[in-house]
Formats: sequence, structure tokens, C-alpha cells
Amino acid sequence: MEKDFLDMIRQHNGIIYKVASFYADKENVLDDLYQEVVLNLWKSFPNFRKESTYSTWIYRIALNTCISFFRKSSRKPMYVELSPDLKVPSEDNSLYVNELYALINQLNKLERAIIFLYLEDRPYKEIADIMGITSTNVSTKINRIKEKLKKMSNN
Amino acid sequence: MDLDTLKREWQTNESFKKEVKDSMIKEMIANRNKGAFERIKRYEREALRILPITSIAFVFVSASILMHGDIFGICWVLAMLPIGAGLWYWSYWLCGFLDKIDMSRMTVTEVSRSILKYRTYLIRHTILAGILMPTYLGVWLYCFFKANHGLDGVYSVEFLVVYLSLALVFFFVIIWFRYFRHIRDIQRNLRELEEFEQDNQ
Repeated sequence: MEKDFLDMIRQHNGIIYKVASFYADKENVLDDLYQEVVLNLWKSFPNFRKESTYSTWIYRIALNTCISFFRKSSRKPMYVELSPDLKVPSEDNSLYVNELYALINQLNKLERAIIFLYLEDRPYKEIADIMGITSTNVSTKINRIKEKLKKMSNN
Repeated sequence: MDLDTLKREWQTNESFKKEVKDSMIKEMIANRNKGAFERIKRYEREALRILPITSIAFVFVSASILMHGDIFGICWVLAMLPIGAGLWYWSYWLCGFLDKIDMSRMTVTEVSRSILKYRTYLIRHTILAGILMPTYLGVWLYCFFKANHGLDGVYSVEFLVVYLSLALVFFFVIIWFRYFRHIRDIQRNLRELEEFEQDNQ
């Protein structure tokens, strides 16, 4: 089982890393979030019944983990430090992209989840399943968030 | 600022394609009990072990009240047993509540709501404990002094004033700054969740 799990993580590491970096507001929180997601995936792996694809299953767990994650202010030291390579890739982005990230960071966690899945080009039905809202509501929300981001950037 | 442009850049961003070493993942899953959510569940389960022991130990510590105290003192001490039982049942219920939170099957809104509920229970419980426990212990202290030293004459106005002042300081400094701020944060999160689900009819 461990081998299958490791294979799955290797194949879908990009998803986990993207979700964690989307919700990380400081560099060291990225490590916490990444590990928390991996731990929750490991815990749920034996019960995965292939009712959905691996990627949908990982998106759900990763987003649930990041949205519900709350650290105490006196946090314990990190138990596994990620390699220096696995950090937020802000140096590679254009100024435009970084500015948009900064605006997205001002959205609440649920709106951020919808935007993340939108950026990942997931079908609206899948977004609705993961978020627990209707497909029509997904479309409405995305349009509203676009308007919100436009207003924020104009301000 | 265009989200569709960001989407195109996001899709082609190679920097997310990072390799991760198996040894690192193995080390993470070896530490599976150190996850934040697992820690919370562990604390609640530990309370199930600790509460009966501390309740019974408290009754033994109050032996002098049971032997030499009046009927009120004896009843007050023995009240710790049903209080301990009630607290134990509360922790047991919270453990069951946390066990039901399944991040692999529940939707994001369901998990968010459950976590917010848990945080609300925790804070209300802590605030209530912050008010009731000092009250219980204050009365216990009175019974203890009365049973051991017969000091109910001295143990009156001066002690009450000092005790109440300390209790107020405890309440405002610890409870207000630490927990009321959390309540505001929870209420804000709950409002966001409700707004988010608003168009879901």
C-alpha cells in the first residue's frame, strides 16, 4: 500500500504543492500545509474506492485541509523540512501575476478555493461536487469573484 | 487584471512541477500523529483518560472536608463526580464529532461548517469553564478552610474581595483577550460561509 501511495504522490505532487502554495501566506506555513495534506491523504488512502479520479479526490482533501487548517500562534517546530526547492515560485512570475496573486490572497478561503479550481480548468460540475454547491452557483460565484478582483485592482 | 490571462499563465507554469523524494514522504507519514487535526483529536481523547482520574483524585484530596466538614461541604465535594462525568461525556461526544469529519468524502462547505462548529463548542466550553471552575473552587476553598481550621469568621470579607478581584483579572485577561477574539473570527468565518452558500437554492 505504501508503494501505491508513494506512486500516487509522485504523480500528483504538483496538485498538492499548488494547493498548499495557494493557501500559504508565509514560507514556513507552506511546509505545514504540504505535510498536513500528505498526512490526510495517507489517512484516507485505504478507504479510497475509486468513485472519482485520484486528482478529484486529492483536490477535495487538499482544499479541505488547507481551508480548515488553523495554527496556534506558538507553533511547534516543523517535523519534516521540505527541500529548499519546494518553495513558492514567486521569483519566476511576472509582476502582473504576482499582483493578481496578492489580490487573490485577499479573498476569503472559500472564494480562493473556487478560483483555484477555475485556474486548474476543472469542469464546473467537479468544482460544484468538491465545494458542495450547485454548478449554476459555481458559474455565478466565478463571475462575481472576477468582478470583485477587478474592483480591488482599480482601487 | 484578467483572471483568464492568469489562467493561461497558471496552466503553463512549470515551477509547480516539482519532484518530491520518497524518503521525505515516508518521513512525513511516519509522523502521521503529529498532524494538526490528529493532535486535536488526541487532546480530546486524552481528556477521556484524564478526567475520571482527576475527579476521583480531587475527592480524595478533599478527604478532610468529607470527614470533618458540614453536609454542604460534603455535597459540594461529591458534586465533582457528576461534574467530572458530565465533562467526560462532553469530551466523548466531541471525539465522536471530530471522527465524523471525513475530508475525503465531505465537501469543502461541509468540512468548513463542521470545523467552525467544533471551534465554537471549544470556545464556549472554555469560557464557561473559566467562569464556573473558579466559582466552584472558591466555594471549595471556603469548605476546606472551614473543615480544617474553622476559619469561617476570618474567611469572609477580606478573602472574598481578594478572591473576586483575582477571578475578575483571570476572566478579563485570559478569557477576553484569548477567546473573545476567536469568537469574532469564527463569526466572521461563519458569515462568509453563509454568504457563500446563499445562492445555492
